[in-house]
Amino acid sequence: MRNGKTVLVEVGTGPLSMCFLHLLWDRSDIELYGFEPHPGYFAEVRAAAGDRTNVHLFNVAIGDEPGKLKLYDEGTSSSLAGVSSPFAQHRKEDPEAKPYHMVDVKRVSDFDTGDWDILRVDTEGAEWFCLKHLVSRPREIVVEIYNDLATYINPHLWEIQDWARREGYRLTSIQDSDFIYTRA
Amino acid sequence: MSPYLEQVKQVIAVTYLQGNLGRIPTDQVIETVYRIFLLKQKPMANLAAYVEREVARGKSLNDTLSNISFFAAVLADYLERDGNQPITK
Repeated sequence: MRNGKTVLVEVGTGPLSMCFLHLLWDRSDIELYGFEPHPGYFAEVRAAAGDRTNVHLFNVAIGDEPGKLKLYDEGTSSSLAGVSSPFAQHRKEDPEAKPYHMVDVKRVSDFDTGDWDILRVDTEGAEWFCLKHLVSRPREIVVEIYNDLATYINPHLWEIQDWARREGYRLTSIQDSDFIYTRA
Repeated sequence: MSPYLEQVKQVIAVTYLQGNLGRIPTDQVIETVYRIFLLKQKPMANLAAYVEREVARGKSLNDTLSNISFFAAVLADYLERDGNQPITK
C-alpha cells in the first residue's frame, strides 16, 4: 500500500487487449505499474494510458542482469534470448531465425519500492528473474507456469516453487496457465 | 522414452485419487485416471522429459515430481473439455 492506495504491478503487459492494468486505471485508489519490452505493445498501452498520474509504464524487460538483450518477436509470445520460452518449447523452433528487437533489461529491484500489493508476471519463461530480485512481498502473485498440453512448463518452476515456500506463500489456485500464490 | 515415465504416471494417479476419492464416485475417479493414461500419453511423455531434465540439473526427484503433480487436475479438466480426444501434438 502507498498512501492508502493499492499498488498493482503487471510485468509483461502485452498489447492493450491483453493488458489488465487498463481495466483498473480509472480507479483513483489504485497505483499501477506496467513493464513491457515489446516496442509496439508498449507504445499502444502508453498512448491509451494518456496522462493518468496513477499509471507508471516502463519500456523495459525485467531480467536477471541489467543490459541489452534480443527480444524475439513472436507477437504476444515474444521472448527474451536465452530463455526457454513457451514458444520455443511448444514449437521446438530455433528463435535465432526470428525477427527481434534489442531491448533494455533491468532488474525489478530498480523499480520495486517495497510496497507492491499485487503482482502479475507473464514474461514468457523469464518470470523467475522477476521474483528472484523482488523487494516487495505482495499479498498475491500470479505467475505463468504451464500449458494444458504440458508442451510448456516454466523452465524455473522448481526455483519459483522453492522461493514461494521459503517466502511463506501458499499456492491457492491453478488456472489458465497461471499459478496464483497468496502470502500466508 | 524417459526413465521417469512410470514415476510421473504414479504421481498423477495418486494426486488425482487423493483429490477426488470420496468426493465423486470411485468408479468415475478410476475411469478418469484410466482415460488420462490412455489419451494423454503425449503430455505424460512431456512431463517425464521435464522431470529428466530437472534431475539432470541436480534437482531433487521427489520435489520435481511434487511440483508437476498439479497436472493431474489440469489433464482431467482437459479431458472433459476436449471430448476425450487423444493429444498428438
